[in-house]
Amino acid sequence: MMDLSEMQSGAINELMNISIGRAASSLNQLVNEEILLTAPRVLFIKRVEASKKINSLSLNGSCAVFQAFSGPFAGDALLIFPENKSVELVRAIIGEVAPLETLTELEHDALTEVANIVLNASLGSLANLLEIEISCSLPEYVKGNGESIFMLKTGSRENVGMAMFMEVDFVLKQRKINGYVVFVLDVDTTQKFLDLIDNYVSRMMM
Amino acid sequence: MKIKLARQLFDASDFGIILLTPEAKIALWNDWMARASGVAGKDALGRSLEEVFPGAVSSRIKRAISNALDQGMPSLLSRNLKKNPLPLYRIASKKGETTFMEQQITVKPLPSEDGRRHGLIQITDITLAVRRELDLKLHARTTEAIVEGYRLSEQRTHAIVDNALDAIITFDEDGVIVTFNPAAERAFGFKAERIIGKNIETLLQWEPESHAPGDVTPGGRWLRLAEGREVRECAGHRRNGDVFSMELSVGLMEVDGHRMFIAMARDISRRKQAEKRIQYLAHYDTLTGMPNRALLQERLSQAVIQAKRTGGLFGLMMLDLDNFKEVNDTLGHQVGDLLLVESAKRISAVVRESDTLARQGGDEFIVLLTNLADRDGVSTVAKSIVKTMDKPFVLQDCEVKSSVSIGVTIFPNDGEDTGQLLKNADLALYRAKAKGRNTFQLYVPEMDAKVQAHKTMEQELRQALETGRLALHYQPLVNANNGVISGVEALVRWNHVRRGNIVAREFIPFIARTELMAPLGEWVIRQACAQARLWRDAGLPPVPVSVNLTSGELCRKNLAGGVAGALHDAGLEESALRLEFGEDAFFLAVERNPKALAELREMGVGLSIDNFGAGASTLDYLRGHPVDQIKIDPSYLKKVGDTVRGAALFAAMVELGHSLGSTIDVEGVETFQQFEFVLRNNVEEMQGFYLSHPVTPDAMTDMLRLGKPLATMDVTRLFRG
Repeated sequence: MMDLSEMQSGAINELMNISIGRAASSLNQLVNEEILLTAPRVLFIKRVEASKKINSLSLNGSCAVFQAFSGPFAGDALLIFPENKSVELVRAIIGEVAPLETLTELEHDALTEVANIVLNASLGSLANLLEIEISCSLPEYVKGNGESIFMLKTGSRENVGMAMFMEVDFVLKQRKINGYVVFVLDVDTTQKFLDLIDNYVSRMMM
Repeated sequence: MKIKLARQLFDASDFGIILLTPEAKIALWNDWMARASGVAGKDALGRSLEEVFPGAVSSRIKRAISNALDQGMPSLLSRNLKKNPLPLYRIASKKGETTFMEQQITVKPLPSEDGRRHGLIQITDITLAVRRELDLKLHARTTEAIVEGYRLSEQRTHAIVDNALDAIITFDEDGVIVTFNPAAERAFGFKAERIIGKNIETLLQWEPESHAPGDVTPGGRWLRLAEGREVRECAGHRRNGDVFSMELSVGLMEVDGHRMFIAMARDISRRKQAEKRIQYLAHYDTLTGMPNRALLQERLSQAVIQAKRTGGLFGLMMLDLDNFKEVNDTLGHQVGDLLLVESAKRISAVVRESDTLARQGGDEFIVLLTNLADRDGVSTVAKSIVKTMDKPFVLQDCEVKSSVSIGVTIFPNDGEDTGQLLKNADLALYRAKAKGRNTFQLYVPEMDAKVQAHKTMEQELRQALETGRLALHYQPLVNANNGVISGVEALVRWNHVRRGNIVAREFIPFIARTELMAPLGEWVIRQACAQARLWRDAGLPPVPVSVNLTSGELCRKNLAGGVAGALHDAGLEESALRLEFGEDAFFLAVERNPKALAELREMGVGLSIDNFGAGASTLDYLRGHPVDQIKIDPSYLKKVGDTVRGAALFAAMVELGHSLGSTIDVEGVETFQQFEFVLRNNVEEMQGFYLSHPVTPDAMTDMLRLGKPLATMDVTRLFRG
């Protein structure tokens, strides 16, 4: 666990909650079925622990959509599902009951779009609240186990610092699917991030 | 140069490129876009996407564009989620055919130096990928359906075998049972796990019609049965030891190179029971349980064949219950049925096991006595039947008296074929009835003519009654004091088609005991009443009309009622009618139906004993049942002329009658001497040919007008009064 003051962790929790909440409304405009996103609890952990956590999610591997972002602070944002859950989510949203056990390529795209909306909304909201500007890359679909997902994408960053790990529940009419949103921050910019958090806190106090 | 190269790259690309200004206006529109949208670059530049495709740009695309330009967030628009991409078309290989293009759209922000953003829209044609995916999914679904179908057909096969009504058992060449379905479990009483591995021959046994060398081995036997493709009956053995009938068919199959047999067997014991029942119903009377007409006919034919062969004797009896109709009418059909059932029981008890008692129908039974030693045997049996039937029955708490009449015939004496025998028995039965019932009669060849004649007469008389060939003639009774007509006697005349006029005496006795008597008697009474009415209406002297009754009529239970009804319908007082009957009839009536006599007397109807002194009278009876009038039998008058004794006897009769409280009428006055004699005696009335023959109603009318019979007109001076 990273060392954050109670104030800071509290602020981040609040910020992420707001952000994910906004993501839900964007998502609902897209899909047929109403989706609720639950308020996440944010864990601050090292990247290595994050990858272990992803591993433990499913034996069969996971699917992830990944977007790199940059601005005053930089890093990678990921939305991760255990593979079978990803299938379930996409099928439920599309409304199809296909006999295939894995997602087709076009279904990857659907998952990607969903993730894109969630991540965009989260990042965008976060940027707004912190009064900064963030830009990010197009979302990309990745499949593998915890390690490979991270390493493939974030492995290039040698100096990865903190990871904000949030369990997000996608609540559909007849089921609840858990996914995970992870923001992995560069070590260099982590401090900047925390500064921005402090700014936010002081603004809120006023 | 750079720009030109860039331009070339741009237009050479295999996907759509749109560059938007920070104001969301189109800055670049590559050739691909032009081809796919049908909108040339020059027409698109400077406009917004909405202007190029009016109404066709979804909010989703709009949002993605604003996200990029305003927020700097890129978007991926997939095909499988909300599908309303841009209106773009592929150019198909076939001329003129355009297919809609499936698209994947990405929208990226491009930051510029001044902090504002351009938007880069890239569009990829994923139609083929979509088609592949659909094929893939369809294939997957088809496979799934096939697998499901297979699974279902497996289940279906199982369902068929498991739910079959027939026992299905598979076994190998040695007869060892391999499978045993639920129906087999039920039929044989063995659970599958207990019988699998045991031999089929413990359950089923069948006999081949002929033997072949292959029959030595069980496999050989079963193979023959299977190849024969027949269904045959076999014996099934249940676990509890019961043996039952089964219908069996055997099929052959090859499984992994081995021969297997599949037996389908159906428990037909129920069907057999049903067949038995049908046979029973076809041959047995349901009410009494006795053989019916059909079965009797079979047995009779058999008996003839048998007796012809052995040269033996057998007897045939035709019986019928004497008063069945009456019982049915007065006590109801239930009691009638009970009477039949009980009668059948009684008669069965009296005949031998080897004899057949059959119900012919209605109240008629037939007894076939085979293995007859001699003729007497038949009579003995007939006698005992009559005796047993003479005892009263108690049916539904009513005491019912019945009796039986039997006609008996013997093979080969009386006939050699079934038709002849039945006819003879019938004639003998008729004779038994004519004799007074409650008796049996052996067939006598002479019977033929006589009985046939009687039967014919009965038929003819019935017709005559219906066609009005019967009439009443009337003979006057004359007052012995003053010569006035004091009564009339009605006598039936039959105007026979061929034989002319037949008097009552010549036919009434023969049909007195038949069923015809009742309607005839009723007709006579009503006719007489009607005539009396006519005479009264004409203002003629209201003299009583006498009607003759047979003993049968006098013993009828509802006689009084019938008489009352006839009187009422004619509007006559009771004393207008007088009922005449012989001494024998009187005797029987007192014995069997005393109530009727009392009732009639109470009613006020006149009662008269006819032919008094000719039969057996019991003075006791007369004292107990006094009558109004006694008619002295003509024989007494005849005897008068011969001896003194005759006259004395006559006087004594008159005295007797008077002492009993009755008036006297003398019948048979035929000569002047008789007429004078009667006048000298103290009698009230007389009748006879001397005074008047029986005449037609019209002639009687005339006589009544005159008040005296014509014959006495010149002898009135002889009358005292």
